[in-house]
Amino acid sequence: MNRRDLLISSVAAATGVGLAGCDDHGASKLPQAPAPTTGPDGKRLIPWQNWSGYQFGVPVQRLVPKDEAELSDIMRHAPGPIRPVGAGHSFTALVPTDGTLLSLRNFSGLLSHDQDSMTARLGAGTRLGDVGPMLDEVGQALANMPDIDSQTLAGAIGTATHGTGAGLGALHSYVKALRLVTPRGEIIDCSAEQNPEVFSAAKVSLGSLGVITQMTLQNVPTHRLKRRSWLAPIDELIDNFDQLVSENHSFEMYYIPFCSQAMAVAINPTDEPMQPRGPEQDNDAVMQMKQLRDWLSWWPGMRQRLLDMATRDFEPEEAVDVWYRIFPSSREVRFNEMEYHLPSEALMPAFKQVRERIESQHHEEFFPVEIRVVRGDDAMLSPFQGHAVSSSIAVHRYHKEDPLPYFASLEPIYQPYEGRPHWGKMHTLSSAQLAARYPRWKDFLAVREALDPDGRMLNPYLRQLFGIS
Amino acid sequence: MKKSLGNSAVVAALVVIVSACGNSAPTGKAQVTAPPPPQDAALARLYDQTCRACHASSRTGAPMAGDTAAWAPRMAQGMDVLVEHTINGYNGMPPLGACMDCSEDDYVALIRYMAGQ
Ligand SMILES: Cc1cc2nc3c(=O)[nH]c(=O)nc-3n(C[C@H](O)[C@H](O)[C@H](O)COP(=O)(O)OP(=O)(O)OC[C@H]3O[C@@H](n4cnc5c(N)ncnc54)[C@H](O)[C@@H]3O)c2cc1C
Repeated sequence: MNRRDLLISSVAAATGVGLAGCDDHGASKLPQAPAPTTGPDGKRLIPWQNWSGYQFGVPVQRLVPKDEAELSDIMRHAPGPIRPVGAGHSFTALVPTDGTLLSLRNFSGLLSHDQDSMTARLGAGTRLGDVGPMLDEVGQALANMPDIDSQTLAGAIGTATHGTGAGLGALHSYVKALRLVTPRGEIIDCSAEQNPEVFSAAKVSLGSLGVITQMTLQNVPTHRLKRRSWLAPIDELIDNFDQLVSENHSFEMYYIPFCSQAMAVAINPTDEPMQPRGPEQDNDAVMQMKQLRDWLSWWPGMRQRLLDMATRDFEPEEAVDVWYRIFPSSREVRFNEMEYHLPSEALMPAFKQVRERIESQHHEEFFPVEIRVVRGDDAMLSPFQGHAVSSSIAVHRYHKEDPLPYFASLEPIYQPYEGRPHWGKMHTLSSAQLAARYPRWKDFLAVREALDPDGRMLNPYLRQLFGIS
Repeated sequence: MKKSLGNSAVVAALVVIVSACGNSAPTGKAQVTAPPPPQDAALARLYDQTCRACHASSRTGAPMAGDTAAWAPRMAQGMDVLVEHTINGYNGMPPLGACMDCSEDDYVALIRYMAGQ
């Protein structure tokens, strides 16, 4: 038993409560992927599952095309629904298919770069974690990154994946051009100048227009970043949120349920000497917050008091490193997630309601709630479309616990503000509701119809999302 | 109440709980030299595109490729168990590892390579 475990056990003894509660938090209601069956060759036929295990499917075939010619052939002839998959890190049912699952891992790497324009052309299946060193080596950097770097480029832009910063757009907003192989096997290059309507639709297209094989990114010169994280009273962070956002290149806030202190993370360019980040601590911290929930969910006052005392002496953390080692963290405690994007002025009113609802009705919650900002852009299905700066609130549920009651309880809060859900994260909006929130919804559907008239890329989830029977 | 709690193990524990972000607990990971890439070019490419991101990074909880000591107790559970863990996810490892298209044979070969066998 290490020191931490010993101390945790002491909490149980000191508070005089049983270790684990009897409540399984809906574990028995979680959908379960079917067990692998045995194929004719005696080997396991493996179902596909997403990162959290909540989404799954048994494709009739899983293909790994080696080049565009083979991909074009697959697109014309393979059994549908044809679903491209990146790293499987979306929480919604975008990928499951009983037809053809396409892995784009052979479309990866840096294909070319141009120092004058600071652009780089990369394979669409390149994982963000590999993009970092590749770009750094040629003196370039992504302007921004999400919380993790496991996603592929195509998967990330396909759902409007973003990081945080008022001057920093989501990843797709830095795409200058991309190549699409359509369900009819055509290869279409598009950019603001070439096939602009397709380009505007394809940047955030949920894998419904064709398969993206490569893209050109507008980058910035490689640089060093300093990451600073600290705890402060949550009310103070709420009051100063706008100022902190405007003063920092990248800023986000984590609200810790049942704690008066919240965590702030600011990232800024620096010339200071390297000071790499230490081992990832967030995963242990989350599991220990779960432990505290297990013991004290029935006594929120004590839970808050203990969390407050525990967070009082937190020393701010600082790290300085190359950009791609500063932005992403490692998330090893799996979860399901719902994230809504809101107009900036709606952020704090909505967040205050979320906090109030968690503290009054969701004593089972322990995952920190993440609050970020994203610069607007003009892609047809970008949730940031039409906003100068969008704000977002993300809530999580441990992967072994049912996320639906919690998400259903919070989701109505975002509706009066016309919130737009993250395309890769769980929500229940209908196509009619989405159509009302996306001014270019019909334009997108028209491009989709033109490129995939037979709906070969539509799985049941996409049909329902787009309102196509 | 506050005062008495102030000296209790509860407070000590919770300081550890939340300041887990600040006080780095040793991960117990030894420095491991990355093994040479698999000789089979296809397997080398597969490893590079999938497992490497976590199994060659000291920032994740994954056993490092080539760390035979870390892999020994895992291998002792039997290959079936390890493949099952890979397919369904285990602790921080998501279902399918990071390979969306691997067959059972691919998983076995990748596990053997990382375990140094
Ligand atoms: C731990 C974790 C942390 C996360 N952090 C963030 C975050 O900080 N910010 C954020 O915005 N999101 C975040 N997400 C969500 C994640 O970034 C998105 O869901 C993203 O789409 C996942 O990328 P992927 O490569 O796994 O794609 P998948 O989930 O595999 O696919 C996503 C979509 O892209 C399509 N697609 C994949 N490849 C292609 C292709 N070549 N051509 C056309 N379409 C394709 C798929 O069909 C699907 O519709 C996080 C998710 C997890 C699990």
